Amino acid sequence: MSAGILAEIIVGLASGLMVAGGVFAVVVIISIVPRMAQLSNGKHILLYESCISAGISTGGWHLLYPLQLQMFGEFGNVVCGIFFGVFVGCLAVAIAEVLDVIPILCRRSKLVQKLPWLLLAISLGKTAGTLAYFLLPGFTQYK
Amino acid sequence: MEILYFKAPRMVNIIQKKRITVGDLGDLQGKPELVHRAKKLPVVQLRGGEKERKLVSVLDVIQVIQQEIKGALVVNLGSADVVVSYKPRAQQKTNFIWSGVKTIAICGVLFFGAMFAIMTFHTDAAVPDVFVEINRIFTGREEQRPIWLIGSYAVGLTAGSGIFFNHFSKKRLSDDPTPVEVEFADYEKKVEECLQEMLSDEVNFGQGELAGSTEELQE
Repeated sequence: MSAGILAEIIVGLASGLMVAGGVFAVVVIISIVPRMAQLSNGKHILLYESCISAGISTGGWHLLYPLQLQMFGEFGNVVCGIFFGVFVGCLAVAIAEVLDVIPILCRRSKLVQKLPWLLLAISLGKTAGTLAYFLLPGFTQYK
Repeated sequence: MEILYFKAPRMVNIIQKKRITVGDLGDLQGKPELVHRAKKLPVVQLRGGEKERKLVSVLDVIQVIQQEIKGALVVNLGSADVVVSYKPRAQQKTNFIWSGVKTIAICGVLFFGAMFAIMTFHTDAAVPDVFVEINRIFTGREEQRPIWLIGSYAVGLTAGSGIFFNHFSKKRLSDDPTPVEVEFADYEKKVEECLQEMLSDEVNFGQGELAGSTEELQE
């Protein structure tokens, strides 16, 4: 085993550890796990963490051994898409910028009772933005 | 030696009353006749006439009570300073047209802002490439724009933000306060503590009175 391959292995292991830690930290920081645990009355938190780890591992292994799940067809597409969407939806509204701006905005503009409308506006804006981004031509050239 | 327990919140809203008594500032607990006497004692006199905020230290309250009731031991269980927020009259009539215009304007800002944020997020994270890859995993075809994946992704996105906010259905999804309500309470606590700091720190912030208020509370 030459020194080059050994160095590659070491660097790969180290960077894998760092990236996994980083992704896990991002998922935890946005408090999506506590929120989901809240919705399920506080059980199964360890199970959720295992799911996150399994997801990160699967995504990582796909680079080396691409997954072959063609048996699922379009159904797999749809199910995967829904789950992707729920996760990104929670992520997009849980970041501190959005979550801290909302109460300040409400108080400064004295619209505290109209809060559900403001949240609805944010949600609809995200949906409209997603649809416009993917269905209108021209956006995906900016990579 | 009589023991009286006094508990005051950080901030107290007073409407129209200029002579602030102990009972206005907080709750008292102890022997009923002593409590009855102590509650009526005046602590501070406001100027009146316009909105103002004044800082009252609990030490003034204790001094006033001990002057009246000899040998009383007052135990303070609440905040050490009380900010008295005075308004000359109750809430003015709400202007519905202006409120509606403000709502529409702010909703517009939030709608287009959220649109912009999610579009830049997708560009930043190269999401279309990922979708092409996922589509290839499941169907084996190389499609530039997998419609089913995109459609279900949009549905999930809406559902995800709705679940997180928990404000849309009359039926709550769980009994805890929602994240936005938690942020609300957190912000209010920070504002009240900051007011206490500002009003009590004359060296850094100037006079001990902060005239006017930055927001009106709609009750």
